[in-house]
Amino acid sequence: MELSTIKDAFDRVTKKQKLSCSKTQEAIDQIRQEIESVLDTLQSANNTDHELDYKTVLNELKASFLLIAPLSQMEGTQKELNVALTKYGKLLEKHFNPDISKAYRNIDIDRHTLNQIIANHFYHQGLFEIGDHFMSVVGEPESAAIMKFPFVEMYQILEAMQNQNLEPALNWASTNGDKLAQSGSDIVLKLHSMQFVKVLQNGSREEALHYARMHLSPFATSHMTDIQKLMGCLLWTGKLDRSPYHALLSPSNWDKLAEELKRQFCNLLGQSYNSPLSVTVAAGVQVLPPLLKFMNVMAGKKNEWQSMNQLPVPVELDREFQFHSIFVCPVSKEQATEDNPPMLMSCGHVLCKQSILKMSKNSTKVFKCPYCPFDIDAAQCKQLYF
Amino acid sequence: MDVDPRQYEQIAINENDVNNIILSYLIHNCYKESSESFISCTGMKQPADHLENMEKRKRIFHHALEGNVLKAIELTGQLAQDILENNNDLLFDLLSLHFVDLVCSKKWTEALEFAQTKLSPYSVKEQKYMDKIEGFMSLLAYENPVECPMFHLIGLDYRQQVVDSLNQTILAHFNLPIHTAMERLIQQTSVVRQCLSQEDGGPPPFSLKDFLKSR
Repeated sequence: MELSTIKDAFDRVTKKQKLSCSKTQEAIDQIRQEIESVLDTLQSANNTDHELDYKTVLNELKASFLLIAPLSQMEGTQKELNVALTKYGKLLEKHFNPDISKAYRNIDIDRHTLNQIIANHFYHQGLFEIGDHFMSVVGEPESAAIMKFPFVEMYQILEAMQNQNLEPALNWASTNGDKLAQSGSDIVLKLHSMQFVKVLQNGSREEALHYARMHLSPFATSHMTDIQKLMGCLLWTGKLDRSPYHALLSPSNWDKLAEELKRQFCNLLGQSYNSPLSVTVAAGVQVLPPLLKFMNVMAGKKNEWQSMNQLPVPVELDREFQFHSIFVCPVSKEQATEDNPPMLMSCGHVLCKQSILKMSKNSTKVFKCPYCPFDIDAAQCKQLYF
Repeated sequence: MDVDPRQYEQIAINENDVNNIILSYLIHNCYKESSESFISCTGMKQPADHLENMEKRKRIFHHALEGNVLKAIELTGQLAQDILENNNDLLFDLLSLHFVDLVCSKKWTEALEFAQTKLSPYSVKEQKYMDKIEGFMSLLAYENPVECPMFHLIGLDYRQQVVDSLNQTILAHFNLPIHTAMERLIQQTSVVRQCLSQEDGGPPPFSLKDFLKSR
């Protein structure tokens, strides 16, 4: 969404409002000044024997007000402010659809499941007190404890890493070494490398050598280049910042390592890196504009929208929201499902199973591929797995 | 003369040439006593300075192979000041041999000190030295360096290769051939026989082992 346009309009309104305000203040100041002047004149007259014509003085005041013309002074800026404000209102209406309820429909969702999703989000984000309170209110404190525990551990590790303390992370890596190796993760080496660099920074060469033998050498066969560079660092103990390896001291390495650890930690839990609720909301926000546009087009067919199980228009999500490939049949334009899987034909093109059955009249005859001149035998088509 | 290469068995060899080839081999590899015996038996005449240089080369060779590389470097410097000063690659390789000796002797701290003071300065010169230093440093990651994937650096083949390079450099400095005549002859024979065997009816490729066996 383009927010700069809205910000520009808002800034214009702000500018006009300030101008109008200062004009108004100026007019009020002028009026007060005239009145005070007249009051001074009237009060000073009481102290003399000279009789003063009050009527004349008040008439002069009235004439001054007419001369100042405060209403006409303020009128211009007030008008400009109203114009800018009206434009801003229209812009908001255009960019922020106030009636997003058009783009939703009621579905029955299990309350317990919904509670679990919300609580998982709080724990996933490290908001443990809120999560605990929420689960207490909805009456499910037992399942909260089970859900909460691994995230508490994860955030303890991450908090320690923010203080450049790798001990909890190394303990976790040691406990889960086998599973991490199975998943192909090299985070154990990264953790040990970072710890090794810390030992070097403290200037203890013997300790660093001992650490390398204990923890780095097992990785030499598979990560020889990395190990060689780390061992080269031994020559620069205590002065790594002035060595060819100073990049190893970059603070951003800690951020990358923390992110990598969180990713691997969630992976071992069978959880996604981001909480499911935040992913859902973020994706929903992204698809809201095309959905609202679609709803406007379908305005007269409310009932039809409520019952359909697939949108007739494509909705593009950013790469971060694309987790699995889903094949769309070029003939039927429908998404592949388990009952209707994508099939690889002998010519190399892919159609869904039902399309093949239809075109081959239930596998009874040879048909021509929609993309190329090949004749296809349905019996030779193989199911594809993405 | 226009000689058919296939009639090589008809070529007459000068006895003196054979003696020169043998002596070249003995001198190159510092076989001093054998050289002296050979010279006296054959009645050949050789300059005395050859034997003197051979004695010095022999001591350098011996120290380097036996794990006393620093002594070898010192003796090489005494022989001629600029032999190693003008050859960074060779000096680096010799120093790295000393590092390897310290590692194999389990003198970790001394090895680290040596690498830091003697090898590390090379890393600022060229990237290739940096890469080599990292390879040597990875030996330190093991209590027993044989377990390291870079274990070939502590092997005899690598040491022999460096020492041969040193020997050749010294020979070149005194304008002596860095390769023995024997070596060149075998190389040339192999190439010639290879070419001949590719022609129809040519002799089989040269094999030193087969050749020695057939005599």
